[in-house]
Amino acid sequence: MSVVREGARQCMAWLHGWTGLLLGHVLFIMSLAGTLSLFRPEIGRWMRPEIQGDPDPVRAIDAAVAWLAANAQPTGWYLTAPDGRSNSVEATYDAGAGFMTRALDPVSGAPLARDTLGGEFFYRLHFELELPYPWGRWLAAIAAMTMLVAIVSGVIAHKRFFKDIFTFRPGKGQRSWLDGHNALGALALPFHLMITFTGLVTLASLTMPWPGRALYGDNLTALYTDLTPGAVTRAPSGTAGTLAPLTPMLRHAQAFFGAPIGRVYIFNPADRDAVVTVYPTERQAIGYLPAEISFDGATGRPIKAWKERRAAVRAYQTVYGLHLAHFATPLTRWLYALGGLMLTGVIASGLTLWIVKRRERGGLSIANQMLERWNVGVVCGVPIGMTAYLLANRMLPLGMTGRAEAEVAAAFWSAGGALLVGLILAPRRGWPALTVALALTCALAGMIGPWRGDMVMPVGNLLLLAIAGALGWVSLGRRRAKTAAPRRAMRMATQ
Amino acid sequence: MRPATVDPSSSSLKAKRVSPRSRAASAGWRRRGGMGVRIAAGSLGAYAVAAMAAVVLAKGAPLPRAEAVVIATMIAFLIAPAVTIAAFFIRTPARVATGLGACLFALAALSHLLGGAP
Repeated sequence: MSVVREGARQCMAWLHGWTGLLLGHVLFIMSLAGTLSLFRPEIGRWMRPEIQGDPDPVRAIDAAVAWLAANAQPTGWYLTAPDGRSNSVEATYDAGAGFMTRALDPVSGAPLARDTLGGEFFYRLHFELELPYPWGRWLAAIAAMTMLVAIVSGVIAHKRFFKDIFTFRPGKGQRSWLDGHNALGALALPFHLMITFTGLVTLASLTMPWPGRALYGDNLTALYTDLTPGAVTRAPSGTAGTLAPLTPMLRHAQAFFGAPIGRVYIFNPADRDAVVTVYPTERQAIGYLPAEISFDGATGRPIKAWKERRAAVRAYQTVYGLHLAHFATPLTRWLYALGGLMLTGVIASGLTLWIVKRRERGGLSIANQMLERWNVGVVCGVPIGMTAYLLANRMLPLGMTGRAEAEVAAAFWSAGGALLVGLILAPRRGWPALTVALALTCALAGMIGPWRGDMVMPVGNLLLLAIAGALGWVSLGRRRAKTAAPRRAMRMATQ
Repeated sequence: MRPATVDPSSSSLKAKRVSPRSRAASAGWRRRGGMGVRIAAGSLGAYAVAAMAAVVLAKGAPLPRAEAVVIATMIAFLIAPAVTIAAFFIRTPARVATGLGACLFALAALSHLLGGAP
C-alpha cells in the first residue's frame, strides 16, 4: 500500500494523464529539438562543410569586421567568435535590408554560399516553436510548466517507484508500454526535473515579470542596468570615426577574462564614439554571461571592465547555464543528450500509453482514434522534418536566394506531409510506413554528404546511418514478429 | 469506497454508479464542477499564487533590488507546480477553493504591508 491516500493517488493519475496529453505533442517537439540543440555548433559544422579546421577566434573576428566594414550598415555588428566547437563567425548585421544573422567565413569574413541556419534552427524551434514572438515562447513556457506538473504528479501517482525502475516486461501490450514509460521516466528523473525547471527559468523575464514590476515599476531599463552593471551605452556623436585595430582589444579582453573571447558587439562602428564590448566564451563555467569589457572604438582604450560576483545573480546564471549546457565536456554533453532522448521517449511512450490503455479497456472513441493517428503523425513526422532539413542542406543549390529559408520550408513541408500520411493511414500501417520513410531520409542525408574533413563530418554521417539502420531493424523486426507469430498477436488482441 | 467522507471528484473518478439515473447525473455534474474548481485553481490560481509569493519575497528579501528580483523570480517556478499539485491533492474542491482564497488574501495583505504597488 502506498503512502498516498487512494483518492489523491487517483487524482494525481488523472492530472498526470491530462497534463501529459494537453501539450504532449508540443513537448515532444521541444524535447527532441532541445536534445539536438546540445549539438548546435557541431550540427552547424556538419551543415557547413566548406569550413574546416578550428580558426583562431581573434583572427576570425578581425576578418569578419574587415568584411562588415566594407559591406554592412554601420549601425551595429553583433558577432560570436568560433570557440573550438563552432568554426565560423556568427554575425548579426544589417546589409541594407534589415538585420539578419549569417555565418561568416573565418578567413575571408564573407558569408558562406551554403546559406543555412545550421543548428540554430533546432535551438530556435526548441523554445520558439517557429511561432512569432512572444507566442512561441509563451507556448513553450506553458508546455514546460505542464510537464513539471506531469512529472511530479506522475511520481506521486506511482505506487512502486523504485521497484519499477528495474521492471520491464516486453511483448505484453499496455504493461510493456507502462514499464518502458516508467523506467525511462524514473531512471532520469533528476535530469527531467532539472531540465524542466531550468528551462522555465530561461523564459522567466517574459513569463514572470511581476517581482521585477513590483520593485522597479515600469522602469525595466533600470532593472536591466542593475543586472548588467558592466554594460556601456553611448549615443553616437554624429562625427565620423574609424575603428582602431581590434586585435589588441580582443587580446586585452582575453587576458582580463582569463578565457577565450566569446561574443563581440560593436556599436556605431563608423562613429567617433563607437563602443566595442567583448564577452568571454561560455564554455569555461556553468554560469552564463559572467563578465564583460568595453573599449572605446576609436582609441581602443578600455572604458569599463566587470565580472559578476553577486551570489544571487550567479545563482540565476548557474541555473540558466545548467539548461544551456555550454559548459559541458563531451561526456557530460552526451549524458545530457541521453537524458534528453529519454525524456523524448517518456513523452512519446506516454502519448502511446494513453491510447493503448483505453483500447485495452474496450474500444477507442472517435476522438481517441484521431489522437492515435495524430500521435503517429507527430512522433514520426517531427523527426522526418528534422532530417529533411539536413537533407535539404545537402541538396539545395549553393548560392540560391533564400536558401536558409528553403531548408526550413523543406522541414515544415515534409513534417506536414508525414503528419497527413499519419492521419490518413490506419495506425497499424502508418507506424511502419513512416518509420521506413524516416529511416530512408536519415540514410540519404548520411550518405550524400562529404565524408572528408573534421571529425564531425564522418561522425554525423555515421550517426544518421546508424539511426537509419536501427529504425529499419525495428520495422523489419516488427514485420517478422507479426508474420511469424500471428497466433500470439491474436491471443494478445483478445486478452 | 468511502462515500460519506470523500468527495466524488477526489475518490471515485472511475467508480461505477449504481444509484438512480438522476442522482448519478447530478453526482456527475458535481464531480465535473469539482474538477473544474481544481483545474482553475491548479492553472490560473497556481500562477497567481506563484506571482504574488514572488512579489512578496522580492519586497521582503534583505538583498539589493536586482538580486531580490532574480531570486524571487526563480522561486516562483518552484511555488507554481507545488500549488498545482496541492489543488489536485487536497481532499475536497471546497477546501481547494478556500485554501487558494486564503493564500491569495494573505499574500496580498503581506505585499500591501511591505509597501509599493501590489
